[in-house]
Amino acid sequence: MPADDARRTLPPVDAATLFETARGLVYRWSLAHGLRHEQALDVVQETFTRLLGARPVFGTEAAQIAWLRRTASNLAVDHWRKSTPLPLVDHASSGRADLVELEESRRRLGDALRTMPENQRLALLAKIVEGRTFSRVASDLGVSVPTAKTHVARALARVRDAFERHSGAPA
Amino acid sequence: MNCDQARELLIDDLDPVRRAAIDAHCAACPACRAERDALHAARAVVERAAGTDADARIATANLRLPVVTHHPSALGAPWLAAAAGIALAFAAGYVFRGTDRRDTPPPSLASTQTPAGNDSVAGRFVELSASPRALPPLARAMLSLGRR
Repeated sequence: MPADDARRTLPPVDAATLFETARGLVYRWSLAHGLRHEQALDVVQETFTRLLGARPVFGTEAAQIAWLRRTASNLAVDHWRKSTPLPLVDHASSGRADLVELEESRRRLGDALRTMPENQRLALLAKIVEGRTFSRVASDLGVSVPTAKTHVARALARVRDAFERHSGAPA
Repeated sequence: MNCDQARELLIDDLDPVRRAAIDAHCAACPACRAERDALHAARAVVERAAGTDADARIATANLRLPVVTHHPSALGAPWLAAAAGIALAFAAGYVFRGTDRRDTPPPSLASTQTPAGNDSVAGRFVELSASPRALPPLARAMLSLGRR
């Protein structure tokens, strides 16, 4: 997204349009927290329910996305905490090694994101999932560019550690 | 480029020239290469989990915008409802405080009443004369009447 668009002043939020344009992004943020498809759909619905309930006024498109990202991420962490992991033994006995690996990967990723500070989590989502520039990440979080880089680096290090701790080797 | 400089730039958005410099350093430095590969692997894990925009559009195609019904306050504005609530709380506090004063005898009075049968005013407050300043005004007035 060009920087000019991010700074463009918006009229009061049109929830229907925002839902159409951003629901996929909210879904991807949720998956990045280690959630399964159904859980990610729940997070999308809950995020927009909150948007409609709170009816926030956004000055810019960047603020709009930042609000959605923060809300969705917190909801995803809540979902992850409440969810019961699928029993790996069932997949293993069914001979679906790919499902075992997928579930284990989700579990590690969810663990890593749940335990990292919120700003690191949001920086990770903005940088890695959305592919924003560091200056945009910094602007969304209200921090300097070097701080945004530090957040992303530490978040990635936590993800790396989560996978190394379990497997003894990098992901 | 040394290791510190290289590691600072590992996650940066780099132009091709600087990217080539990092790659050249990592080719000669196993520690930095391992660090770069680990960061790339972590990045790939998140990217793979999040999927693509196209997949997400398909996965969420059947979702509809939730319907949220707003129930506006009968008083018209939230701040007005809050102010009315505070006023009611003060009013209730005033009424109950007044009730306590009228109906509940002070501990000093309750504990010093004499046995039933002695209905003279002075006799019902045998020990009150010891500390009249601790009594409520009505009790002090009754005590002074009894003394006359």
